[in-house]
Amino acid sequence: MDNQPPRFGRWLLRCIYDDDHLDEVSGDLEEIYYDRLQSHGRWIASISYIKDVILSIRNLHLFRINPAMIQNLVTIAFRSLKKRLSYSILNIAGLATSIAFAFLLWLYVQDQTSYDKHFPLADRIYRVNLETDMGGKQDIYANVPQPLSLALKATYPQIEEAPRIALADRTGTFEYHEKELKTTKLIFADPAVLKLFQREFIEGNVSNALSVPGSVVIGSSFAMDLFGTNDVLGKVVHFVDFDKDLKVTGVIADDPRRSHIPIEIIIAWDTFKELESDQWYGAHTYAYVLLNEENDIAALEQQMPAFFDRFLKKTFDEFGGKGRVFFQRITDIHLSEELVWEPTPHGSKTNVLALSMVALLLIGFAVINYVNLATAQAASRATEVSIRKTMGSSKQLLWAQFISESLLLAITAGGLSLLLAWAMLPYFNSLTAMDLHAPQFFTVFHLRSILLLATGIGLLAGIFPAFYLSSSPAVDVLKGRFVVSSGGEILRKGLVTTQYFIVALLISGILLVYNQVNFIKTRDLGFNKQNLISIKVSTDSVVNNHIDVYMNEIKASSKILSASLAQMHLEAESNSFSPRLQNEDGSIFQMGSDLMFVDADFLTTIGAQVVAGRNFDRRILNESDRSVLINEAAARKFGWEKNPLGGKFAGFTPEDHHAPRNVIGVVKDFHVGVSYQMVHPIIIFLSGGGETNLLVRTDGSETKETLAMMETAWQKHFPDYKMEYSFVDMDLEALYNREDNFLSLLTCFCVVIMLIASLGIIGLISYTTESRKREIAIRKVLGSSFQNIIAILTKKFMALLIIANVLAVPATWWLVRLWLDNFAYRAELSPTAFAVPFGICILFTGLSIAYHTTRAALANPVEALKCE
Amino acid sequence: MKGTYLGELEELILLTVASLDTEAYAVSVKTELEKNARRKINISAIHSVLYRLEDKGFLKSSFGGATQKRGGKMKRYFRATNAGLAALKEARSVREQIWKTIPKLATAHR
Repeated sequence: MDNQPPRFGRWLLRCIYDDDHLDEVSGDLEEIYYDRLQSHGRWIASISYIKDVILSIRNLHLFRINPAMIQNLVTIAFRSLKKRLSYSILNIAGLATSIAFAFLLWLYVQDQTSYDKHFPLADRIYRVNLETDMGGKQDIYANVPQPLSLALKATYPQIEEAPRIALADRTGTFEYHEKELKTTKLIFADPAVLKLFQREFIEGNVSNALSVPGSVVIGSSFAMDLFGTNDVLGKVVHFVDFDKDLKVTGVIADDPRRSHIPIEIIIAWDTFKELESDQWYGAHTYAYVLLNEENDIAALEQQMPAFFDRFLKKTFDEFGGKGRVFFQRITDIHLSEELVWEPTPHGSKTNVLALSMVALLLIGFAVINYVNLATAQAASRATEVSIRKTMGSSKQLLWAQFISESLLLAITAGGLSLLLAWAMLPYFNSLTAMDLHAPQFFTVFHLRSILLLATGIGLLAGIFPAFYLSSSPAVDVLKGRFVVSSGGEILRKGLVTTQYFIVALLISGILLVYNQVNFIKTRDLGFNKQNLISIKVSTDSVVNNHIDVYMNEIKASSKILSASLAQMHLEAESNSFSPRLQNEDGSIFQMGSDLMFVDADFLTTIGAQVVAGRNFDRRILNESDRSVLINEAAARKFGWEKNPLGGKFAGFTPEDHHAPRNVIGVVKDFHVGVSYQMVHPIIIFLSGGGETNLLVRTDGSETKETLAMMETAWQKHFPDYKMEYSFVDMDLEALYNREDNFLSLLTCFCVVIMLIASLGIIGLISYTTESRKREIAIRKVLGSSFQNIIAILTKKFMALLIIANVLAVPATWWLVRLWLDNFAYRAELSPTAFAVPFGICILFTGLSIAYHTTRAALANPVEALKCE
Repeated sequence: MKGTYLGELEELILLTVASLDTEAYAVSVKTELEKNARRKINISAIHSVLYRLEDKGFLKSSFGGATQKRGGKMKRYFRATNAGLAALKEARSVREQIWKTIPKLATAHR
């Protein structure tokens, strides 16, 4: 009948239940099935039927197979693993390593995808981003003009909360009874921030913690470090950077869970009300919105063009710019493209995907190895299988036997893998900048997942060999006519080719990624990053007012080649505007460009070259009012390649009545920030105070002494301030942390994959030679030479190897191009990257074949033949 | 205590069997439970509990009533034994005693 319950389910049921219960249970299930058939249709009914059958496994005590049988299976499985001890160890080692590494990778992927998901309202929280087009220069900002949050909340009733968050460098120093402590996770925010980014309060009250100006909420461990206790409500702490006393109104528990905007200290927004800006441009404030229950972001986003026209258009028109306001779900932020002014560096979706693939490959390889080795043993197990069959073993029981073998192996490996993963945890932590420890590691959830994974692998790896091994024709085998079926051979060839293919792909992939990372790090930046020290000049302070005196003093030292004050940092992109520019013929246009304010020694200090015209000259009267420099990128973009020195900068807005400034020189393009992005067009102005950064070029000898000298001079001039400095080359290096991490993770895991693949290939080679021992012996007896025998055995593997390597070339090419799309400047894809894996594969295979074959070929043929 | 102790699901199912009188078998128990207790329980769980209750001596079973819908297969009918009924009463009286000791329950809910 056509609409009977699925045959598979009925068969499974017959396998599970004993005769006493089979009839009634299958009757009950069928009755429910027919009821569902009428109410839900055939599809649902069948699925539910099978689900019912599978859940019936809980009635273990009614099983057809009795416990003694299961015990017997386990015993047999143990014996057979022991009998082939070397293969078993190879298998277990490979499997345990794969599971351990796959598990660690899974933890990493989990960590990377967990960002912001723990906030209870996360699915209704969005960040407001601003895409701008300033005369062709496009940028997407993660932060927005300050009045935007309030306007949004006032205009759209579906927005429940719209707190403003400002970062102010994210660093802040706090002082309590002479003790100073610094944090890098500081924000200024409206009270509603606690509703969006919910935190557990140890002291104080969520509802009023940030409502009074001058309140501060601090993290528990910060409080412990500063006060020595968490009982600090009402205590007054001095906020050094803004010279202000703040009252502690809450202590929040530390939260190790990941967020794109980690928070340790929150200062009430209204504390610095006087700094609030009503400008609709710039003013770096982060705007987050909490939507109401309906959570209809698409509808809100449709309103944004109208919103833009109403509030921002006027300001943007003045700059000749266009803009677009849009929303981003906070849980999407961490793995999406980095916008301008992200609070923290992002992860990379491509990297997470690539590493997940690596994890899958690890598991895949372990399974492939098992299947390979198990089917390769078919011949030697055929006799055992045949005898079992003759003695009356059912096919199902034979399956159960082989599957229990692979299960036993996989579960043993699973246990070992846990220990292995635990042992590698410290290295893994340092590789990924994660902070995992045993308590978070040995959780019930993790143990259960590993067990489940191991069981899954055991089943998956066991099914094919079980089917294959149990199908040998009993009578033929016992008569001594066993022929290895071609099916197993083809499968094995296929699997080995896959392994070679992936190994080749990984090796070339790593080499190419390494090439690229090396390329971006060693690229000529257009300036000299060595021996360059950057000293922080705090704004609105004594330091700022007298820094030139300090600079002149240290310049006197012979160790210091030059020094310069600038309003920019070489490791961070500059601000962009859409200035008005004047062509030679006097016509005016607007075009997006970065702005940079530096002193006359800047280009000399960083070692950038002037390719046309001249550098600023401080001896010229009113130089800063009359001249600007541009870089090559700007000359190109403004259409001034032919005569860049004829161009003029005509101010920021039409109301700017300042006389146009002449372009007096063109600077060779130099990279600001990461080296793999296009160089932006830059207009360089001569600054007149307000610098934030003192750049010092040393001669590179005795750096320690030079620094000590600078420090002493600093103490003399600014006894109340600490000299905060960094080396520019190290700051730049830090920009590539993500690429470095990716590369080291990839390398580490690929080495493991290759190890596992080689375990499989070694196993197979040793087995093939073993099983051809007699053939080799006969060939020898008949006069075949040693070289001949080696050639015969090598031929098969070499063919597979070559096919795999050839196939790997386009695959690697394609994958690496995908990754390289992140970079504007790319290293050449070198052919070496494809030749190296080929060489490694050949060398490796050749060596292991040579070893095994030599043994077989040198053995006395009598040994191999006498057992017949 | 093992033997006389009734788990929550066991108690529910035993009660249902008792209330269904002569019509209690796995599927009818399931339907009835879904109707009264408004919870979905997989049939295999019901089988498991029914057999366990039979092992404990709270239920006895007999075969009968094959229908076309079941593919001509027999049903196993269950009936509560005296011991089963006694266990139910025991469980109920324990609960009632504890209920009485909750102070001010009546006022708290008013």
